[in-house]
Amino acid sequence: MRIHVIKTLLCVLLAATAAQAQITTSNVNVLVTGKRCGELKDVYLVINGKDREESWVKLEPAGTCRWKADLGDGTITTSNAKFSLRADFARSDCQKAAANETDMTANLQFACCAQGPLRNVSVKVDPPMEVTYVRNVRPYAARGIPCLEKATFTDGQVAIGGAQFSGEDVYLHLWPVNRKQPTPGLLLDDIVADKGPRVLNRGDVAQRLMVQRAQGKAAITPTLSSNALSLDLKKLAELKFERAQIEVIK
Amino acid sequence: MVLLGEIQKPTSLPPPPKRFKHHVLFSYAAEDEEYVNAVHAALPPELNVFNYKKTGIWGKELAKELEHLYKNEAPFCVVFLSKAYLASEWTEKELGIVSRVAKRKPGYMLPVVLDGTVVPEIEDIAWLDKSLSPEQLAERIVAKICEPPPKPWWFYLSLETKVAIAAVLLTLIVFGRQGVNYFRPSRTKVTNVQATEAITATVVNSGPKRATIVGQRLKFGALPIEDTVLRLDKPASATIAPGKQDVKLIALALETKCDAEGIRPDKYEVEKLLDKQSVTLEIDIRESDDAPDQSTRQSVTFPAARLKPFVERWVSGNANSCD
Repeated sequence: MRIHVIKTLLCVLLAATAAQAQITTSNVNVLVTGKRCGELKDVYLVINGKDREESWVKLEPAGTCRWKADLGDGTITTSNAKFSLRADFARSDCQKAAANETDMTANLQFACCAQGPLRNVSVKVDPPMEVTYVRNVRPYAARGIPCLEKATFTDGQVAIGGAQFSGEDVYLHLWPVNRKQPTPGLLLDDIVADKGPRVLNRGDVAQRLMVQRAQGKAAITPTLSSNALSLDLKKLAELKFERAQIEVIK
Repeated sequence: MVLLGEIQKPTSLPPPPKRFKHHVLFSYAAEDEEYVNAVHAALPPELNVFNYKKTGIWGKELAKELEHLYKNEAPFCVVFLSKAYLASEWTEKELGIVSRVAKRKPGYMLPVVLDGTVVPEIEDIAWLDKSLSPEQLAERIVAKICEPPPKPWWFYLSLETKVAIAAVLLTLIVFGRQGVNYFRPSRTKVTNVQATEAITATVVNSGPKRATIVGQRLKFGALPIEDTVLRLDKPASATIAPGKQDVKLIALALETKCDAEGIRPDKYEVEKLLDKQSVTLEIDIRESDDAPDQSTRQSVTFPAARLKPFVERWVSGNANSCD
């Protein structure tokens, strides 16, 4: 009898899994819930963690608290594409879209809005070099999923838009970001909490990286290795890194 | 016994029916040979006397050979009956054979009673006697040979019977094929595959019954696209009627595989690889004679380049990480 019940449950589970269809589409519908959704004006969609502002997709209003976008050739597949919202006073966590097979649209529903101020952060690296920031966004709504959002700047002038440090960790990578061999990134959350612009020289960056390592905040396995500091200093010297100025613009 | 015929026939003589070598057979006793020879002499001179004693019958089983001869060599057999005929063991056997053949082929036996000897075998058959001169008998034999062939058996059937038979035949012609088809299963093959934003498979069912498509998938081989289950454009197109049918298959998405860098390539990356690869369309078909849980898999492998519009439509234009 028990086996029958388990089999039935398994069948139901499998059927439910099979029913989650995926579609590839260029049409995205966005619904924002919450009391403040009506206050949102310019709303942008970040797709697959491509966080440079040029990559953001501006959404068109489609009713109260509703927006839509036609991605053109930049189609997405609902099973693996990740989305987050940017607006003037809020950002969302990441989520996947639900597929509507009938009208072939990807439907997103975000809750507005997470607690905590938004900050636009500017980073200027001297001398100019390629820098990448990685935002490790934590989910806070029921539909939310963890995700990484990145942007790379070749001239050392980094603009991080709408950072909500209560819901994400923002790392500045002076080395190329490699998924298989993670390199330590400089965690900006603690730095931008300080008032006014901060200038970090090579030694400051190495020291912060060492502290992050010890705290397990370096996006790598926690370590107290004594030679990590000297290795970081050596790498920064190889990059000819001198200083970075970090400033909250808004 | 003497066989007459075959050789050269007078111009007025029709050829013997195709399956016979001779016009007529003579069966007689040696004692009556004088009269028989006179008859033979009066027949058109082109006819030769066939003497079985001079044929390849030597060494064979005589009874069997005689039976074969009487059944198959001529459409008529003239039997010269006399006391001497009945007294001879062999001519008596001949009479038995001729009687058996005559039962199956009415008109086959042509009796000539030479001395008033009448046997039960000819009681129901019109016969001639020796009152005819050999010349007259020869004329009657020629006349018999020249008679138009007997009408087929169905000629003598009543009109009602003929109509009934015609109705039965018509029914068989009209419904016979369906009857035969009742026992023939469907046999289905995928003969061609075309692709736009959907895939069109040409399916040919050479059987008389319907087949059913029960599954369909696309396998991408070395391409960085996950194998995908396709859908039928219309559920009704799962049924493959006899003949040729185009089946439209659709996908709602094609998911790319993660590369070594942990990135799912977008359609632009995938399209570069299409020219060098092939893909396979698999269609599971349940033939009419398959069990409910059985099906036959039809696979068609074709150049992936043919799928370009399909890939362009259903592979994401946005690369993304596999996190």
